[in-house]
Amino acid sequence: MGIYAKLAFKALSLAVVLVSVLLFVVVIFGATGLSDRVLSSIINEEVRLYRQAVAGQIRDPQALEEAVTKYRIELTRSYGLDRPWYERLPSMLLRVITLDLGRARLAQTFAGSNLISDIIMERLPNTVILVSTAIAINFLIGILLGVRIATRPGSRLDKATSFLSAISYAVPTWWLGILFILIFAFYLKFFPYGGLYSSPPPSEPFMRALDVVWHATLPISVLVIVNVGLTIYVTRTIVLNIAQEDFVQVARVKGLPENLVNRRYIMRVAAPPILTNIILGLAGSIGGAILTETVFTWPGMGTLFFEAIVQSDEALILSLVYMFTLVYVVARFILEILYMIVDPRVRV
Amino acid sequence: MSIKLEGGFKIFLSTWTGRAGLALLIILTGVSLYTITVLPIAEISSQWNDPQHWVDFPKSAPPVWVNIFSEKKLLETVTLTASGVQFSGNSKSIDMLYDYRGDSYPAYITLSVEKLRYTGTPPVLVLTIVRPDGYSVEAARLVVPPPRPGESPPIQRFEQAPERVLISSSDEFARNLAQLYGDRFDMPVSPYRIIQEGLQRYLMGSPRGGSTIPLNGVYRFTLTAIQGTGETRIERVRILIGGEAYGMMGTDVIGRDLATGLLLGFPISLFIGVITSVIVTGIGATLGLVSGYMGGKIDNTIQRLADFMNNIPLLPILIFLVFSFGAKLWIIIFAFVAFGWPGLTIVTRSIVLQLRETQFIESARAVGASRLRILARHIFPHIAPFIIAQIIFFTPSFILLEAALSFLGLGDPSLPTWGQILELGFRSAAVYLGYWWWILPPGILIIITSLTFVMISLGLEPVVNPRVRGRTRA
Repeated sequence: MGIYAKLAFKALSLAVVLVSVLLFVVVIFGATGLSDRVLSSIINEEVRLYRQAVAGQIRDPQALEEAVTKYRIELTRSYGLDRPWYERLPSMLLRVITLDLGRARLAQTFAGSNLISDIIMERLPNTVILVSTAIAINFLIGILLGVRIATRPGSRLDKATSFLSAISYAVPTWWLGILFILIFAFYLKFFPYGGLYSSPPPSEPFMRALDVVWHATLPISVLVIVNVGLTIYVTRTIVLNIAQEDFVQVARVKGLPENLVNRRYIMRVAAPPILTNIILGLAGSIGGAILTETVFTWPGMGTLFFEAIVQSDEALILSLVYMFTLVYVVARFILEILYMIVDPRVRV
Repeated sequence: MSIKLEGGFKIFLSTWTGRAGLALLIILTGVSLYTITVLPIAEISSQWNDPQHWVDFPKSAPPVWVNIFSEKKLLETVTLTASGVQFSGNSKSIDMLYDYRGDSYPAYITLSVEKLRYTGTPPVLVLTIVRPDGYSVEAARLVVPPPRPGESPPIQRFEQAPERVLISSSDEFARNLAQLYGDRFDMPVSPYRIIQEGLQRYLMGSPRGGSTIPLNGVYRFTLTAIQGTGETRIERVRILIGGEAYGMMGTDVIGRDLATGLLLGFPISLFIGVITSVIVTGIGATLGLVSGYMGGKIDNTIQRLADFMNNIPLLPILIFLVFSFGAKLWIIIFAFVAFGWPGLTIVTRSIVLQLRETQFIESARAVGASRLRILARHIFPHIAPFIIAQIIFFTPSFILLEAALSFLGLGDPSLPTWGQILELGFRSAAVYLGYWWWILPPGILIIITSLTFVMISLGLEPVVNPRVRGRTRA
């Protein structure tokens, strides 16, 4: 199998994951009657707009009522609300994929649009920036420290990190966020309580970017602190196992410089499993981001999720489940490509 | 087997994490058992969600022990209660004593009377307060409603909800205080001014330069039943002197005693964690055993499914499921189980695959043991310790997941959990107002509970390391 065929196969299987999740979600949505509610709220909205539009032309109230009722029946038929939910499954699926789910109950974009697709498109980049920065920093620190510790197994630092990584498993990310707000925003006033910009945001682009960084510091720190212990520990274990292999011994005995041994003999082999570890941690990072965003009112999809739950906005929740799965699947695919680059065995 | 178990336990106890974990577990279980058996748990959880029950309590009050650390002393909230009060014949009154020590006045004073029964003519309850300087004031007069037509003695009153009088804003009381100040202290004040400035500062103060200063000392609250001809019995009389601090753990924005909520969190949190983990491990390990040992089509199907489920971002799906089906405890547990098993199935299968190739399994097969027998008698005992370790290892993740869902507003509302306490704290801006007593304890308890199982897991590692086991057997 060539490299492209392999990539295509990966893409296909990830697409299957996405579609299956969607199908599962839409079926539950239909079976619990939630999809009826979403569709009828879309219809109500359109009927309301229609009534406003024709009210100027039709003077007779009875004729107006008739026209509106007729329009409502037409809409009900075209949205398939007169049929059972399983018959309109395909159209509902399509609706979710294209984010054509009407308007949010209360959530809005910055400019004031309440179309679900607009809101999500505005929030998506914020989430991607937050999560990807946190993951990148986590793995940068994790790999640097992990490799370093692997050279002195059993040292005090080694024991401390393995213990700390065990503890961090027991700490809820979101609570750590709350604690950080209490300490660094409420008591010390070093960082803002949350949000993306100060209000009003600085007008100069450079200051504006700095403002975002200042606001992102706490949420990113939280995401990194909770996950980095495990990354260090796993990296250390992987590198340690490889460093004890015979071929590394041989390289050392040959008198190769330590630097070269580390780079060519150890890291080369350790990279793929470390990357696998990143891939496995991805789903967890996305979950952590939902909660962390909420705590820091970071205007991303995670905070939107919380708002949607509070407002019991069914359509918005459905769209967000889809978007989070989509983000996950795309991120997975990018990592799979990276995996092929670092692991020559996959390419043959 | 018993010797092996004993040996394992010794190894477990030789690690400090094992000892610490076990000690914590004993404490957690002890507190949970105490909560379940000693406290009337059903009654308390329904009270917890009833704002009416907490109206008298101070809102967002810090715990009383903050006074140890701060210069400015906060006045403690004090509840005076008398249960099973009987008024008959000569004994027509009860006394309750309040020792007032503080630099600030109470915020309010309430009287509540719960479940009153009387025979004969309806009594009138009169509350008088005797100050440390000996002067007494009538604070409240509560007329018990007479029998309705058709009602026969004993007449029951205030059954559904206690009758509550906010005596610190009663006009009658203010008039009586104005009279006291005018007659005895030569300081004429109008009842209007007393209400305006706060009645407590006149009740619990002595005049000084046109105003008052706190008068510390013992105040006697006397409740007397007058006019009743028969017997009167009151289930509970409560006088609440509202301060700025409350109890061991403080209160939340509704006035709920956080100590009660935190206590209820113990059994619920342990229950969710352990039950879910047991079910998930049971299903996951069984599927892994079957998958690894049977091979072929069954193996393929199970592994595909596990792979697929492992590839879904968990939290969004869980949020969706709990949102769609409603936030009930069993739905939350079901959702955890439905999406929790795949990881363990994959690992168990790989261990079984290793075991299957070992000589003792081969010899069992050669003797003619059936597949089921080999699975049950030879393979299962080998991975049983690993499975037990997994139950403990998975427990914290479900405790944390439930807390996360609760924090997002998807916890079972009929059961107060630590996550829900934090949710209300977050939503009512306790973080931004610095109400640390509301925010820190639930989080710390979540961490301690999770950490207990993490520590036990660490302690068990040298006892049951599946890889080491697999290698030595091969």
